Amino acid sequence: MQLSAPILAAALLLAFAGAASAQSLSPMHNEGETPSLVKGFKLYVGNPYRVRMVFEVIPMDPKFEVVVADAAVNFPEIAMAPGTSRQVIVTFRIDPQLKERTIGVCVQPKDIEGTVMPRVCGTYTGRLRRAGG
Amino acid sequence: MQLARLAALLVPLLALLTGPAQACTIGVSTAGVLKLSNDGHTLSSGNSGGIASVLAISDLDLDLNGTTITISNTRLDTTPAGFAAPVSYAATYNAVWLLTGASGSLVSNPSFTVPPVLNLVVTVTLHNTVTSATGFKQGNYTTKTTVTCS
Repeated sequence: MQLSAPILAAALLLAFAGAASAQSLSPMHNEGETPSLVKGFKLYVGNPYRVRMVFEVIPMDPKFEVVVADAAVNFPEIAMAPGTSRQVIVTFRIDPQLKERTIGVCVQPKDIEGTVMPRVCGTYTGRLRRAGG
Repeated sequence: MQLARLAALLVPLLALLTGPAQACTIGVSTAGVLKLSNDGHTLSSGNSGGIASVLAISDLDLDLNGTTITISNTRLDTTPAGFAAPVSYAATYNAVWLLTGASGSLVSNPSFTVPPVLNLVVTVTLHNTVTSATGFKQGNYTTKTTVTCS
């Protein structure tokens, strides 16, 4: 049986259960000082649903548009069982001339199918501690 | 001494009452279906027979500034082999929470902010559209739109 062209051309988007496309990030904002040129934040990534998922944790600019340099996540990919959360640590270098830097961190499912790429992003600001302060 | 004991009892109690820090959870409750327009130039969930994507956003951050939700980067995710026609993208959304809401598009108001209310759920209805002046080759197409909670 041949389908008519409009039907064939229609994009049948895969049914995708909500459980398979969700994540959480906590806290979503934080700031703090560092005595060195590197600041780190402890974040929690959660998979509150009923499907095992792999998430990417990506350091980005504060507008969440591009991946930034001099920033890293200890687990850039995390496979998580349903209903669990896991700690990750994001670290980034602060230019001593600027004394402060804000980065974004986004959590998104890896290789997700479906119509939506869900991201949860937060911003984190590190400041150099003043000498004697 | 008694004060210290009382504090030791109260701290775990407070932790239980406040629960874990709020974050943000995005769930796709309806994936959506694109349909081809009668003139063959537009694939859209807004065309006859199309179905919008529906998202439920919950566990929102209780920061006083609220949570910003941004719709961006609509693109073709799957195309038939050999399809390389130039296309343009559009997306419109309608978001609802409590007794209010927001609407917009990729071009106009791609972001909106929801207030820090406990147990708030934001329902977002999203329509994606792909337009090709030369039409679409026969086959399956899927789109993807980035929805960011920040």
